Amino acid sequence: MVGISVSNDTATDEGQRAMEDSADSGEPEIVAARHPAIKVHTEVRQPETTEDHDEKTFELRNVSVSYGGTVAVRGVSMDIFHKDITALIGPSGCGKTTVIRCLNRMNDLIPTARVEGELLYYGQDIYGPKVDPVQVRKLIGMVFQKPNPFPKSIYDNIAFGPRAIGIKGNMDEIVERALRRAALWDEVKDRLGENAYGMSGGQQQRLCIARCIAVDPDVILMDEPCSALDPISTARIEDLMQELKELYSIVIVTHNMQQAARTADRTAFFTVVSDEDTGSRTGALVEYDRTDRIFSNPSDERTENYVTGRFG
Amino acid sequence: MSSDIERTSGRARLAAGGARSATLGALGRQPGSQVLRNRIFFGLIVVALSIALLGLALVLIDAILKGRNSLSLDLVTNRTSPRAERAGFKVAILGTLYLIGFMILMVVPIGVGAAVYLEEYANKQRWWNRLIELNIQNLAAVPAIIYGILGLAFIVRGPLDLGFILFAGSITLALLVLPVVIIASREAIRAVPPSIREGSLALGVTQWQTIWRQVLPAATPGILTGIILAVSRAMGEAAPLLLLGATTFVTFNPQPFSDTGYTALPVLIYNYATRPQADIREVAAGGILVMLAVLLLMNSFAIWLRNRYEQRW
Amino acid sequence: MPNLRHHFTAELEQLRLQVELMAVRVDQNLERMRDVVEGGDSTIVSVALAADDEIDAMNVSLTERCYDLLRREAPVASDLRFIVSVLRVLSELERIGDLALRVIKLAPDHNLIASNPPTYDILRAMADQVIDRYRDALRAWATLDLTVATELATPARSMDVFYERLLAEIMRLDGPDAARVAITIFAAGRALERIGDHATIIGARLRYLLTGDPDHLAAEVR
Repeated sequence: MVGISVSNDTATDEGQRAMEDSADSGEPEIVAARHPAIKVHTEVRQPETTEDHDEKTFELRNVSVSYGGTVAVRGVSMDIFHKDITALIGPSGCGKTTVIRCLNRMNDLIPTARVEGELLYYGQDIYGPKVDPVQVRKLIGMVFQKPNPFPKSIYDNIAFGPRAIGIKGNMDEIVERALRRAALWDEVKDRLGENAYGMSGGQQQRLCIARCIAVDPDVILMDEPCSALDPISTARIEDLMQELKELYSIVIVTHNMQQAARTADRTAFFTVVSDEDTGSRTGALVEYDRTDRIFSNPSDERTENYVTGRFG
Repeated sequence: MSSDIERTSGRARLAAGGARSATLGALGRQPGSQVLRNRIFFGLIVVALSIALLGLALVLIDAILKGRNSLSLDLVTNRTSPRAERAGFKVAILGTLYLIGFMILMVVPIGVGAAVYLEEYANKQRWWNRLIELNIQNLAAVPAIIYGILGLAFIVRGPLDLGFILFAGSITLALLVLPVVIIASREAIRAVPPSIREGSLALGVTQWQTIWRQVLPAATPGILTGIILAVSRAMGEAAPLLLLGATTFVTFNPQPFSDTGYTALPVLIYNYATRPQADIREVAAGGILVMLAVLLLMNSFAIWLRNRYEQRW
Repeated sequence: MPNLRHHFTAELEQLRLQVELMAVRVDQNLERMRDVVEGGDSTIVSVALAADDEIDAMNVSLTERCYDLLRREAPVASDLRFIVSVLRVLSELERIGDLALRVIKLAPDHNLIASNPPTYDILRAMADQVIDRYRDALRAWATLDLTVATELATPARSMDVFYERLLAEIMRLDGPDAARVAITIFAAGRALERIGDHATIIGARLRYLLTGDPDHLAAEVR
């Protein structure tokens, strides 16, 4: 939001007046931009426009996904930027989960799924003929809606990925680093050998995040990571996301609009489009912009209706 | 509290009392017909359980009564002999152990492998995979003697032409119990939640690694159950083995790969039991107990193994 | 296709109407202010004071209602802009009410105000114009009219002209009571001028509410 600081140059009457008024009412006034006596410094909090944030991690060009002939989502074109937190929001069935699962080729696991269009990762088409989905998933990790730790110890949960992939190195260090980055180390450092299922839901989800981090990805995808969690665990993970975005680009699907408003740098709003003739329902991208714009003054009326809760 | 009640009017007290008993009535007992039905159902279940246990108990009691005179360590250390005082089951025990041992070595990789293929790799939409599924279920119900004939035709004679060796018996037993193992393993693999697989794949782990390191370890208790069932079934099969060279009277330790003859516990028990001498028949009864003991031992080992894996969950 | 949160939508509409109502009360006091400038009737003062108390009470209750809606409904986008605009407009209305009262309280000194015809004329003209601008703001709020709001948001030079002329005339005052007269006239003039400013600010806030443009948030007064 806008922050205004008023300089103390009240040499003129007009400046004096305005200052007195604000002193009287006890409220900070927003005063003239062009008033000669008062300097206004407007600082709008923007995501840092360093080189990092201008680099495009993903470019989607007219991506459509269909399951066995039924088109689930159509014509998605958007750019996801490096070290951004990008949120995908929208009502049920709008295709946001479908889109995020395209980013790491998890849709391959569904035999009837077909992906059309171009999906570039740092300029390379992920769905190209020579691309191995296993390699893609090493770089683009995923955290799921319901925490799904493996039926192993906490240590083995984290170590599984690096071991299976063949990451050499001191496994203890790798595990500790992953748990520290997931803000879980202090809570579990004395019980690494215990079963992961003994942890609370919030801890399990952070374990899943740590597990994802342990294989050193570039991007972390999160599919409604907090829907199954209580508000405090949710808040912890949102804080964690702010730390994680220093190192990883994050794409998050969320039903919770406040969460998107709080955490995301950019937000994409999807909706369900009904075909009048066939009655089929397809997802489509409506608007994709900086989060502050989406939630203060969206361009599309459908976005406005959704974020204000008038239409789900 | 009581002083409050005294102060209230009679009408209020009546009303309160009425409310209380109405609530009790609502929360209280079920209608009579429901209670009766519950009791009858429970009774029927107990009866069913009793019948099942009764059958087992009768076998045990009968064996104990008939064989109590022969119960001694000699039963397991004596070789086969027509003379009751020198008759034992050592040869048969060894034969059974060899048979089951080889069978397990064959059935586990093939059965679990088939289950893994069916669950993890096969595209369930394809008709041939559905056909395979259907047939495995049918094969589990085929009578054991048919497998004996199969083994005689194709393994002892025919293409493999191994002759009447113990190993051929093992192969046949393996074919017999394979459907059971496949079905049980498939169920165990299915029971592993897809979220575990997704979580593993999302890390960039290959499908094979996911199966080997996550799915199979998690499915191990169920797979072991399948093996227990398979072993229990195979141990009791006499009929097919008779077709495959398990001659009933063998006095020397079995050689698995030579056709010098072999025997198994159920076969030898059959032999002893059909003799005219009463004391040999007692030895047969003792043999039943021996067989149950061996079965119990093997199953206990498998159950212990399964418990060890289950605790990891 | 709005079809949810009926209760919230109704509450927002209620809030808007209540703000209008408060604005009408303020308008009444502005009329009383004009009457005082014209005629100096001291009986108006107590009526105006009572009305101002009402205005203050409405300000408090409507502000509380805004906080309540913020807490309960977590509004975003246009809802949020609306509630924030309401909060700001409430404070503007309250200031205008106070300033009107300040002039009304000068009723006993009406003879001083009326004593010098040039300044008296200017004051009356200023009062008229200020009330007109205020009524424009009221109309814009009631109809959510962007054109009127934009007109209001760009401040009128005419008020500056009046003000400068007033100052010039005050400087020319002479005589034994000059100081007292000057101070009284100046006080009235300043209050009127500030009322005009606040009407302008209301226009600017309304414009931001309607457009959502962040540039309009840094409202321009001059």
